[in-house]
Amino acid sequence: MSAALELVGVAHDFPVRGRTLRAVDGVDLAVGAGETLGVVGESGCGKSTLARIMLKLTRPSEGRVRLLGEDVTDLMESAMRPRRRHLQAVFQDPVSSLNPRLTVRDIVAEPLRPLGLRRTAMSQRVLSMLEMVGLPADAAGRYPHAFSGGQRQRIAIARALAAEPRVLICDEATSALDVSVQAQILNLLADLQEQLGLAVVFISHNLGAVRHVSHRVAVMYLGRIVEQGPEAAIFDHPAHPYTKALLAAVPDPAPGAAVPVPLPGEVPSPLDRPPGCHLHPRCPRTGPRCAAEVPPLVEFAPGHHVRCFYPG
Amino acid sequence: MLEVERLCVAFRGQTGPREVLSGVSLSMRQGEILGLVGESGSGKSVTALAIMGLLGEQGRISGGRIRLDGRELTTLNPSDIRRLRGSCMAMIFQEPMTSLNPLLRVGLQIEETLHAHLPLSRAEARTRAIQLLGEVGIPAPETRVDAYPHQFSGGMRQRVMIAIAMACAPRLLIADEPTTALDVTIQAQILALMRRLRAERGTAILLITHDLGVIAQMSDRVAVMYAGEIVEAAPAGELLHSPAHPYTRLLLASLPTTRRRAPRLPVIEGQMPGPGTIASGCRFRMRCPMAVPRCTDETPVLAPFQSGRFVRCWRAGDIAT
Repeated sequence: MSAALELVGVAHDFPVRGRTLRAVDGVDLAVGAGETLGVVGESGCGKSTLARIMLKLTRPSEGRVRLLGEDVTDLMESAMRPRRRHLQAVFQDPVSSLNPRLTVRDIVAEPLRPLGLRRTAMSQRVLSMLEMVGLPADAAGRYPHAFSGGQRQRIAIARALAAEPRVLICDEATSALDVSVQAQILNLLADLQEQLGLAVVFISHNLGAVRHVSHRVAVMYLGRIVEQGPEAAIFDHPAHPYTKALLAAVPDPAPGAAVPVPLPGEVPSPLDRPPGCHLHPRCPRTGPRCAAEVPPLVEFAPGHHVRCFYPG
Repeated sequence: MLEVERLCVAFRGQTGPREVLSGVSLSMRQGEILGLVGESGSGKSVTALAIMGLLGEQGRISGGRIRLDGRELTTLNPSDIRRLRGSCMAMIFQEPMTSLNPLLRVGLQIEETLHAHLPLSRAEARTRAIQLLGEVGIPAPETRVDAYPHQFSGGMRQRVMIAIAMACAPRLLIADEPTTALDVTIQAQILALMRRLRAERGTAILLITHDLGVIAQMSDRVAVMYAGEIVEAAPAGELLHSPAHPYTRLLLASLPTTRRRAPRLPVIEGQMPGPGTIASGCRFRMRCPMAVPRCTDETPVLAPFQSGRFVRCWRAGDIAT
């Protein structure tokens, strides 16, 4: 199977006052048609930089980006533009990602413009998109401010899917929503993904939401993928100490659930990443090799990769 | 210790006052953690601001009573309530960066609170500030006391806010979404800190959050708010195990968890009505799968339901069986 979107050895550096901040470090990821890849991690782990690289908004310092089998790493924006219809995004804040001066019709039609459709075909397409995301047809003539947060996120999804993309990047797409609305949007994303055979990258700090929509999950810590595997393996049998701590820290609404023992300390600044395994100063299972060598990402179980000298 | 009785709050609107809180009643004992849970616009933050006397120009208490240690707060003049804020009750917010003064060293901000309420010398206040920073888990407090807020991480800034709030040993701490802006591993640390303060000092905590997981981990009792009313109140374990109000049930069911993957999440259709849009009847009835004609005709009251529990629903008895 060829991947719809593939990152190979991607790294990205930001210059910060004469120093180098490595935000993303040696990331290999692939997502195929009909598959949702969840990417989780805390602030500063590099997941937003990764999203920008996937969307070709940032050119990585190292590594390659392949879209539908084609290497697009070095393409200029003008060359990228016709390919953009295959690669769309939904972001966290539906207020700032929708132009307040455009009607919903114009917003959803935006990615259709380069396709040169006739007016009637275009407006039919807009209406069918609104129906698909569960908005009434009369929404087309109104402006974004007339809608609630959940409805605005539906508008953003309708726009993203209007030109029938093959890859959808969701960057914290449900993080600003209330629980009951989040459930509606998660269901919608799962349905559309299945119906349309989309390749979806679902980036979020909300682990429950990630489990709900993802087939495979990658866990990031300070720019590196520390564990990657099928959803059930990551959530039911995590092997990396960081994944275990992250999962244990999510407060469980089940009555009588165990109160987590917090991981000590904080995520170090990406400017001062510890040598060897980035987690070793905070890790409950650290050994002599951890400070000296970077552990490789090795296969722990079929399809389940872990970057740790002492996994399990 | 804290008694809120039939509290009503109205905000000035374009077409006259709009009632955003309708008869909210709460009570808290010393050392208790009460979780107040609800979605955006349910009135949970307004409840907190009303207790703190921080409603501002646009809002006013239009009915009801708030008593702290037997003292009526709704009739106090602004200078008296200012004296209580910080000493008897204190509040922390979601985003510590907007609550801290970026131009003042954090030590000075703690000392400011101490001087406002206690007769301390400058040296004493500084010693106390260092001690407080140590108590909330700031490493090397004797040097960090001279740092500015931007030199702290989000989690450390929230620790500083807690140190300021706890400076005069208040009896009541109101925490409004204190960990919502933090990463989960840092959230776990801040929640552990709040539990420790409660255990060591007997501070009562009114914890406002939309996160039912945080509620489960922290609260002794829970009150669920919907559209300006409390719809259910119960001991935390019972509420999470057997929610009685249809809204609470759906809210719990619609939460994706890391424990298992549900094929589909149950959803609550529609959205919460805005303030003042429902004149009578149950405010949840339009979204409620259990609604019957009585829910439109008669307004349900928050009625006792089993021991120690209260539910605002005509059908709670039917649902439980």
